[in-house]
Amino acid sequence: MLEKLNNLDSRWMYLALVIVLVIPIIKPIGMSISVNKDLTQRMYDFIENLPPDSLIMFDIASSSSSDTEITPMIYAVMEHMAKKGHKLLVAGQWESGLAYWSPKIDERAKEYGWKYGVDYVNIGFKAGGTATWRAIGQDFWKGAVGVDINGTPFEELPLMARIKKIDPETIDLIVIYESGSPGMETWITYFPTVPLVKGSVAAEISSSVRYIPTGQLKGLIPGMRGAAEYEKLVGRPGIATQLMDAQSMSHILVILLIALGNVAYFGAKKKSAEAR
Amino acid sequence: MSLLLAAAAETTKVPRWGIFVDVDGAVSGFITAIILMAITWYFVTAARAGRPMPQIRKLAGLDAIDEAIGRATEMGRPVFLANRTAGVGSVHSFALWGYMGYIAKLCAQYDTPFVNIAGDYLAAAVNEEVIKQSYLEAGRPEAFRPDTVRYVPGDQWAWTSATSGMLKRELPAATMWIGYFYAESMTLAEVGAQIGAIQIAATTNTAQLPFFIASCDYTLIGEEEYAASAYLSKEPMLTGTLVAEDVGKIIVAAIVVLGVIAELVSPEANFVSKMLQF
Amino acid sequence: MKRTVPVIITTVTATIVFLSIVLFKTDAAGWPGQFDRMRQFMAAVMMFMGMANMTRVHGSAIRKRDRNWMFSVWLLVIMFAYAIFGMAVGNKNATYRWIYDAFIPPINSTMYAMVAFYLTSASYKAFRAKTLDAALMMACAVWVMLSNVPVGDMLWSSESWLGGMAGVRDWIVSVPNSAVSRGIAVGTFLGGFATQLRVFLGIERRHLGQG
Repeated sequence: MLEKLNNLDSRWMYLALVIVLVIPIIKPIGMSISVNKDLTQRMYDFIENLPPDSLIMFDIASSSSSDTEITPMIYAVMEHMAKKGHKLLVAGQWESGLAYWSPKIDERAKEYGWKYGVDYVNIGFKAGGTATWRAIGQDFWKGAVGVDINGTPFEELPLMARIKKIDPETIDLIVIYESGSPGMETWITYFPTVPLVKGSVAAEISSSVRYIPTGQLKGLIPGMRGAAEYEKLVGRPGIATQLMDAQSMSHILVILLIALGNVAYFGAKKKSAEAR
Repeated sequence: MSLLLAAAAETTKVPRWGIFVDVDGAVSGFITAIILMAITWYFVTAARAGRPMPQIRKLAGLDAIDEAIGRATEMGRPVFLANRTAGVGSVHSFALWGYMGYIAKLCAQYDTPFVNIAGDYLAAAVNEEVIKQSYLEAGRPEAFRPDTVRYVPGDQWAWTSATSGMLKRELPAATMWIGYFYAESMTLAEVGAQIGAIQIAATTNTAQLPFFIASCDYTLIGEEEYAASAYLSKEPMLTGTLVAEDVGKIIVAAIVVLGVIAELVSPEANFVSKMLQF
Repeated sequence: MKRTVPVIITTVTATIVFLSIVLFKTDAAGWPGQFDRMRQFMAAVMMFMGMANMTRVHGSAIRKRDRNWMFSVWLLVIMFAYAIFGMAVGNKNATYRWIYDAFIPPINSTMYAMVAFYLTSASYKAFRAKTLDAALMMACAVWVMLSNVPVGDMLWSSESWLGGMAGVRDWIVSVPNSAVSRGIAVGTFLGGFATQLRVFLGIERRHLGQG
């Protein structure tokens, strides 16, 4: 029995995981969520303390596969920005990610009554990697070829009049939604003076937190859990909050499985020692 | 690298000191790079002159390569070596080619099928050359098959599903994941574990190390990934660069200790941080 | 000649890039930018080479009727059909984009979600207190996971001493984890630098097809 348990077929675990994930999605439990003071709260506070009409730049550095984690983060931050009356500049280091999230951002902006060109602008994907970003940093209009995602000249977009370069005087905060490379290194390396916060997929949290004590990141949304925390902070529960029960249950299952694995391992070991 | 790259951020057009750009760390980054180059040059020259080089400590993950290929040979199953993200300019590719040359040569000698899955086409083209050369060195150029190097576009999950599919269908006896991986590391390593392959991983992405450690037999951590070409070839000149790297590490550690002491004594007069910002 | 010329090109290019990012009178449109653009151009050309490679490999699989040759047919049909359609209608075309949006994100998300399953089975097998190191790793993993769920907060509230389970979790993540992560980062930087120097000095030449 213990031997069998020791080598438990993975498919049983997968079945158990499906059950604990699906049930809370169908019938939410409504578990409470505490806010991470070192990461999510810091990011919230930073945006909260910016004066109204500040300019926040989104950098989409992720692909659509991270939709479940990144979308609620984008929505929660936009909600916060709408409440504070900040302006938004959308850009992206990942072409596919920007193409995927741009319509979603437009949809939300419409809900807030943001006027394109006045309250927000999407400059679209600019090819050329860090070399292009350095050029944009020095001269935004020239570096970004002077047109937005739809090919509209910057001259026709009033918000662009205040964006001439990437520096702390122009851009008050960069929010990067990242799941890989190129990512925040672009900003930390080439624009270290511009405040930076990050929405990170769960798998990359442990390598991102080291930038918090150094001040290179002013805050961090850690995965879907962080998105749920941000939703709580801005007072608009969304998809991340709904999925939190499922995530919590899956964590509990993994902990139980680890305990079971150890019982089986030590039990089998004891049995074989006795047999000898 | 950060020091050097930080220097690239041009905030003004005015030179700070002499002809250096006006950015924190530009001068110190330049000097650090020159010192590291000089140390490397010294050890390479010393190795070239035949002076004895220190022994490289044992790296179980690299020693296990022979064992893994031996097992694949006994079982008559292929050896897989994969890297998704690295392009030709990436340092991970240069590290990978160190492994690739060695593994391909052994596979050619033992007549064991070898498969490389590349996520970047330029890198795939170079991989092909590296493997062909290794087969030639092993005296078996005819053993190179057109599907030895398989280019699968590096889109994260498309690449991962294609690679996982190949693992399940072809059941390699050994899999090697060398380079910078993201969330796909868990999928790759666990699929590899499920088919019972000996798995060796090497990555510098600290966020993915736990996943590889959980499911692979051997995991090379951080800089160990880069040590392969020197370790496997045992060429003194390459070993010299590793010695230089360790000397660099001692210097960095000394600077950190000095900086901490200076910060504790007087943060305003911390000459170390001032020096690094220069 | 075959070896010397590429080594000279590498060294000269590396020197120009290195100096131009540190020294005054660099312009993003200058040499590093030019090299980047050359690389992009090559990458664009090589994309077609990539298609050619896939056609060769999968074409051969179809000809030989390899096991699973139907997958190869499927791959080639989709690759060429979508590429030709995209070139014909342009990448802003609604149908072209719909095809991508309707298929790729759900498939990608599904693959990504599978990580949770693999993580579960890997945790079961890997987190066993066989040694002191393994026990420590397991304890940290369990602690972090438990503190992420409301049960953790119920066991030791974040309002109480040391910030509760979440407070200790934050300490684990931001102190020991960050310290190790930084240590590895310093080693990685020096390792990467040494590797690049080997190429710069022409000692590392595997990529030139030489052992």
